[in-house]
Amino acid sequence: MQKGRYCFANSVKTALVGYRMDGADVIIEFEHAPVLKVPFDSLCYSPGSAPWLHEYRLCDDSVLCCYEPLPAGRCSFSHRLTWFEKNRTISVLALLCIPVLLFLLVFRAVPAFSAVAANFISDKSYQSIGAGYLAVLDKGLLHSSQLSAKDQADSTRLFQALAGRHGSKNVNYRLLFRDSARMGANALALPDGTIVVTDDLVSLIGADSEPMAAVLLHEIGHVERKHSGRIIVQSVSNSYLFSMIGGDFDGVAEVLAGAGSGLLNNSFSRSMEQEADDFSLAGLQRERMPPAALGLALRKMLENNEGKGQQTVRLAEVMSSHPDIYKRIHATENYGKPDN
Amino acid sequence: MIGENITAESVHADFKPVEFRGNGSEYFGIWIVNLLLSILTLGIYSAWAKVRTNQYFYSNTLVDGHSFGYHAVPMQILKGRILAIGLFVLYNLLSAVNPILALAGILLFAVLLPWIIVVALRFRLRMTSYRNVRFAFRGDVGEAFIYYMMLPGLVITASAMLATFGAAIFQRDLTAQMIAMGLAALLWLALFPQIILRKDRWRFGNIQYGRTPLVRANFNARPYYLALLASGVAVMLFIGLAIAAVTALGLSGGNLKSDPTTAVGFTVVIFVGYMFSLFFGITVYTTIVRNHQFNNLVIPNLAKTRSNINLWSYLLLMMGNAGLLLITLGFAYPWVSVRTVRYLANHTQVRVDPAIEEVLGRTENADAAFADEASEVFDMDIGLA
Repeated sequence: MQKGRYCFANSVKTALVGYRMDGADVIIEFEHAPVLKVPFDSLCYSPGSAPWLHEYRLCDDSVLCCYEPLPAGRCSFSHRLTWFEKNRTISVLALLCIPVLLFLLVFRAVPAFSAVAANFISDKSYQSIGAGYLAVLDKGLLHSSQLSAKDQADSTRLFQALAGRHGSKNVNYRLLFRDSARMGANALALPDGTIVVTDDLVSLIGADSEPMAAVLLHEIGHVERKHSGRIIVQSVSNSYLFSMIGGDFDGVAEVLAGAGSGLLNNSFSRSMEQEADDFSLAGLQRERMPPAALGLALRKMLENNEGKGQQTVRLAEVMSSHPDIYKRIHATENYGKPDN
Repeated sequence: MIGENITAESVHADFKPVEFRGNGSEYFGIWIVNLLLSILTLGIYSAWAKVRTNQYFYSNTLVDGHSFGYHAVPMQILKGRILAIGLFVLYNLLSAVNPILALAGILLFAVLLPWIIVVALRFRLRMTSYRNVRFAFRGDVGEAFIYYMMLPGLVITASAMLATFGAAIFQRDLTAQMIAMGLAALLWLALFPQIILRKDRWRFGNIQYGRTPLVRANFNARPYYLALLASGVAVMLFIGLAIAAVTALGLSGGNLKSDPTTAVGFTVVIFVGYMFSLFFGITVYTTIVRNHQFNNLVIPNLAKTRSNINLWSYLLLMMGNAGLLLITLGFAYPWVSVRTVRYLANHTQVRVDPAIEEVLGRTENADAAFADEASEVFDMDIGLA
């Protein structure tokens, strides 16, 4: 018979008791009360406030506090967990495994899952997302184009030729022109196959030029690789993982985890820009155009945005949604060379 | 006079510090296993992790030699968590696919907010016990609607209307427009601490321990105004720092777009300034408000609390915690948590009256864990400590 303490249900009162196992039951013996017999399986275990204390909650909310775990409970899930938690070797192994597992989960499993899942998003959904975003952009960021009809026709002809040769048949590609002082010389792709180019971009690199072809192929690359769908799936997957795995972080840790999540999204965005560049370079080669045309377009956009030709420092690159533009230009100039 | 002093000292002597017996390396063992199993099970184990963590912290916090208890069951938490995270993921999906539907989701959530708050508080307190007697929360949804939706809504609407009408009436007079904006801000500053005060009185004043009378939360407005003012100073410090950084940048001829080194330096200065002002603001607010709250909480004829957090030592602790987390890439989290809880425990005292030996609890059905999980997933502030 072991000695323990019994805390009465809904009361601060306690009593010293003796307890023992009797088959699958626990027998609790009081000094001035009848013996209590409870099935061991009905008890809920929790480690007590001190390392030597083990608490077993009964169905009526009373508690049996023991100094030794009950013999029948030594193999239970809770006891095994407690053993895991107190084992230093397991802690060290977990410490080593967790960064690797997190890396594999976030940088390999989630992007791979997103790439697969993006294919299951229906064309109708992509059309709906594209139409929704265009409506939002048209209300705030974009205005009607001021380009001449000839410039628009030249670019549209080039775009239709490229989309016909490099785009999927099931995507309804169309090119739109918009004026935007805030976006400057730029282009963007919507998931339904709508490509928007700004007036500044057309004026800067020419309506029917090789650099324009390079930019349009880059944007077609975003649509073909389903980057919008992948971003949605990745963002939702990461939200789930951060909530489930890091959901119990609070205070300072929560702020820092939020910053980490932002940097992670930027990293995904950079890898997608790289993919779109690769798509453009391969397309330019098939069109028998120089790959450096993409570099030329990027350089002109950079100069237009007051760039003065310095390398991006590593930290700035980490915080950006796009890869270092000089590295991108360098890659276009060396595309197809043996050592590249 | 002498008699008064003796009484005051003897009353003070009755207060005993809250004791926290946990330690960083012990909690590290629990935390690392929690994290590992949560990753391996893609988050399913996080429900068990939450129970293990809360059990560890509750059972290691002792008042008058007795510890607290946490009684939620992991499956209960898991169901609530899956439902809450499902809604959160759906909201993220809607935001990406159709922002208008996402807005409708936010409105629906706002309508449900008072209910979520009440049910979450009921669950949280029902799952907490001291000396095997459970706590309870007696507030109702109507009151939650008043304190969390109606009063803030009225103040924000009144301030916005004042600013908008000011701008509309004094279209050509910039000074008058600025005065109207200032008045709107003043109205907000004058009324908002009153709302927080009433919300806190309601949150704490509806706590019940067993069958004892409700907690008496004798809070008054002054510390709330002081806390808001001090937090405002922190924000002003940050804005001042940002202006100084921009001015220094302009004077040195730097250009953020063309000079990445300057851009990084600027970003780092702004980030550090932001973090410092954030810590300073939170620390000042917590110190003033928590000390006031705990110095004015009473369970009639049963217990009284005291708090004496020191602003600078608490700020130092928070900054140290941030540094530790940054240096160790988050792996110092268990020590950071334990340091914080121990600090708060060391600066809290409780006087427990002998009447506690007669306290009885009551058997009640527990609410579902969904609302508690939703309040965490959507980052709602309903904490009580």
